Amino acid sequence: MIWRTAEKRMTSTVEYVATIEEVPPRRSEWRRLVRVFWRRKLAVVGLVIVLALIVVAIFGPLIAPYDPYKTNIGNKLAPPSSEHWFGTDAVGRDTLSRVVYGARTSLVVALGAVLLGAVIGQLLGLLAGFFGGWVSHVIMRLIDALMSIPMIVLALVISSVLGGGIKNVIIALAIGGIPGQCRMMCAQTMSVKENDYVLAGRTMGVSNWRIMLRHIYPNAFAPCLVIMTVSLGATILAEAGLSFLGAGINAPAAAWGSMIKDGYKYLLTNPVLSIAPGVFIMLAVFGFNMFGDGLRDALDPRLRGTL
Amino acid sequence: MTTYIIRRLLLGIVVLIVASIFVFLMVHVLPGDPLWVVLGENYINYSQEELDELRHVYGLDKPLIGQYFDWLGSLLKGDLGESIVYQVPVIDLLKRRLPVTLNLAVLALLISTICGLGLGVIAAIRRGKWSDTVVSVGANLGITLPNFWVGIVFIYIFAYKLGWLPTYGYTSPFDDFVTHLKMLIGPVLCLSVFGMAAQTRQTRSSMLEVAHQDYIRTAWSKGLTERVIVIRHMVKNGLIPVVTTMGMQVSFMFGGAVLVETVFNIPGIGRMMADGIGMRDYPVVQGGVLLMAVVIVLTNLVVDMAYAWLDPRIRYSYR
Amino acid sequence: MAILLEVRNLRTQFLTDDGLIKAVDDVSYHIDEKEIIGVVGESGCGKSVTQLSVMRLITPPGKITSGQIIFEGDDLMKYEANGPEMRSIRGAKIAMIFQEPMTSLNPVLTIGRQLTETLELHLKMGKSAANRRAAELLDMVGIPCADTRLGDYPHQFSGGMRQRAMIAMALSCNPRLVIADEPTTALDVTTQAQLLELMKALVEEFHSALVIVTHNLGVVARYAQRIYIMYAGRIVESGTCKDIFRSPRHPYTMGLLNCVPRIDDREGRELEAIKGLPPNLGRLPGQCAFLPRCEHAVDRCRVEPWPELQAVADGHHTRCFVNPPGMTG
Repeated sequence: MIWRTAEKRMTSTVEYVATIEEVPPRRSEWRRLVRVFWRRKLAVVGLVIVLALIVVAIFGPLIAPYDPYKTNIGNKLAPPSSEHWFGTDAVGRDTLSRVVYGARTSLVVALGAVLLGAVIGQLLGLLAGFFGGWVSHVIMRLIDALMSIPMIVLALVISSVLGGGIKNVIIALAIGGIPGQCRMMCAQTMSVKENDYVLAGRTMGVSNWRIMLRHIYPNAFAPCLVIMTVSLGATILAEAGLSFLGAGINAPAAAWGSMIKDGYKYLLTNPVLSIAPGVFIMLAVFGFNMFGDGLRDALDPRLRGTL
Repeated sequence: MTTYIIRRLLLGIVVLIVASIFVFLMVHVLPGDPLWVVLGENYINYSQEELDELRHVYGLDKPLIGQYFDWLGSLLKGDLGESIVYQVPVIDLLKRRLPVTLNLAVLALLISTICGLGLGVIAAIRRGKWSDTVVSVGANLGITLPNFWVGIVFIYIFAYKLGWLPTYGYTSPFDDFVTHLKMLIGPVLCLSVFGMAAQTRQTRSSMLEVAHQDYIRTAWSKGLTERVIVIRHMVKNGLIPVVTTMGMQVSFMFGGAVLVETVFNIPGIGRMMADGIGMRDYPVVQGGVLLMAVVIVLTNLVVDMAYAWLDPRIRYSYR
Repeated sequence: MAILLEVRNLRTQFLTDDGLIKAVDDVSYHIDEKEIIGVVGESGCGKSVTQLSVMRLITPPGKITSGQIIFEGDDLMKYEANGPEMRSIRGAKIAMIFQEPMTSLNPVLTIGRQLTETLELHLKMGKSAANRRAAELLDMVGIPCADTRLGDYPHQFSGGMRQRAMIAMALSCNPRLVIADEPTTALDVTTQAQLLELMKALVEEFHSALVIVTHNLGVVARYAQRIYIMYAGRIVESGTCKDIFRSPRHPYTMGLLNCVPRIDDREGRELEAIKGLPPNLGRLPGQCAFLPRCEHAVDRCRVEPWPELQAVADGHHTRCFVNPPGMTG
């Protein structure tokens, strides 16, 4: 069917075009990205979810029907009703409001951790890829060692050593994100630095830092960006896991993972307490994953097999 | 080939040494007195002189590097210290708890790998058909599921609502095999969901990638059937990136075990780690992390050998 | 001589992100038994896609939208693309040699296995018979110690040796037609010449016909009896080797000839590249696609649609209004 419509589209454009000027203009690159992305319906769905999540995170106080921290022992463990869609928790806080605020926690932690991990990981990768030799050996063995500890365990240990709370959870999860960023950046740097413009820069005596940051980094960044988007989802999952184990963000702060943990005790009577936050975790992760996949296809389809 | 294996082995040892430094530092960057790690809550009951003496006994007055080598030395002798909470050697705890986690993880690994490979290949071959859509959507949803939450939903449905399965706990297969199996279904399922989905996605995309290679066009031009092309020409090539995912699965399994064993209250390594962190029982946490690192490094060694088996270019480049 | 393969009005199109690409547009040609023909054009002119269409190896987003491919009297378009009829023709009656010897052989299978699989499939040979035959074939294409090299993997072969192995593979089932798609482009010049000689000798020995697809007119000059010149998905000129080289009638063919250094050239002519780039097949004008690069264009070219192929002599056709006299004619 797509076939037929395309054919129809073609027949109307039989006009003389100066074919020598057919070298695609730079401006159309961006349009191509948008077109490829737009054609992937799941990616668009992902984008919509991500945008919705951002809106909820920013305008949480306006959206949430109640104060998520206000306890009301008289109305604790209320079942879902028209006043409290997802009921209330063990101290009478409105679950829906806490889910809304939880979006903010998840997003802040995920963005913070991914950005921090990306900065460190990409810097290490750039150094390893650019200098090679023993620099690369030292960095890569450090990365290998980090990877020999499961990400959630690593984050668990670090956040327990540092002592929980949003800032420390961000640091803990960021460390887990370093290896992926570092390896991708290293591989990219190694391939980009073979390009003529880098060699030219070197022969002209441009400083190493300038070559790395001005010439290599911008050309090596795209795949790292894709990894960053995809790891937003993974980081949300990991944060939820940490909070579920009590080593992340704990009540009274609203985080989906700790809500599941706290609701688990009342599973038999109030299943909605732990089930509702899980649905939102899924939605958020799905959104970021699909958005990331679309971005990958648009930016660099060659990555399809590797990510 | 032998050179290749030896190189990988040496690399693995280096990685383990670096990991052991991390684990060692983990305790020493803790704010406060490292003796706290040994004494736990009892710390406050000791006098300053007693603490100084203990510090000498444990070698904590030596420079950090000396302490590290002391610690490494006892590690190599199998002495991982003593659990603060349980008051037993950590090595004994690990010995008791590892089989439980391995039981879960190996089953989950098998299920996720076999199903993931199968579904991924099917989806790739039937690209664009409805079976591909179902599998792809399922896999994309599967990697979004928090495994601990799946466990909770599972318990709610199958234990509370339907009453088919026990809620949680663990029974050794030697005590009661049927109960053992019943209790295993939930945790194994939760552990395998993510891996299965990730494996399916990876297999599908790498098979599709291979399908576009020139040598597959050559194979078609020879008049081979699709079956032969898939089995003989595509699977082995397509497995190369898939093997990487399999290696990472082991890491996922351990990470997942921490959560799933907590949900299902299973006395394995994962639960031990979660409790250990909760109760600040750092010798136990150190032991657990080291054990996981050893298993993961060994897995990576196996993965590297699988690469060599799959890809003659690796096999011959180190001859 | 009897016609072996006749392609009539073939159209193959690709639906891509950049629109519909008419890679092959109304192409007709034929090849007789035991004949050697050349199909020549720049990269992206549809010459390879034409050959893949004959083998029915076009995969989505590509599609053969119309045309007939008559091989030994049967229209291959009647058959399902990967159905049993096509499979019994591929490799057995029509064999193909691909451009990139580096990537066209499966890296994880031994050369021997890749040779024996067609023997087992089409000639129903047993394992040991197939192995023996595979060694003979490798020996025939000039690979020394053939029987020990059967167990080697492609990466242990040099580029030239891989292409020899590809030739052995293509000829293994004694096909009626061999299609060589840019068989020597990826190789160095001396290897190119050796391989072309080898192919010519072997197709003669096997009584096969051979299509040489290339972007280099020089490559086919010595071997092809007839030549088809393609541009922008269409055949713009066809004729015997002598017609094309002595009296080219299409400006594009002339341009191609100007790119070929000639030993017999006494006038000291300068080598000249064709100006400009090949057109974007997704946005072809209704007029002659070569118009923007053409030095002989007249007003008529700009108003009227691209003309059909017209005979300029017996067996010599061109698709041009101007029809300028040949350079050396």
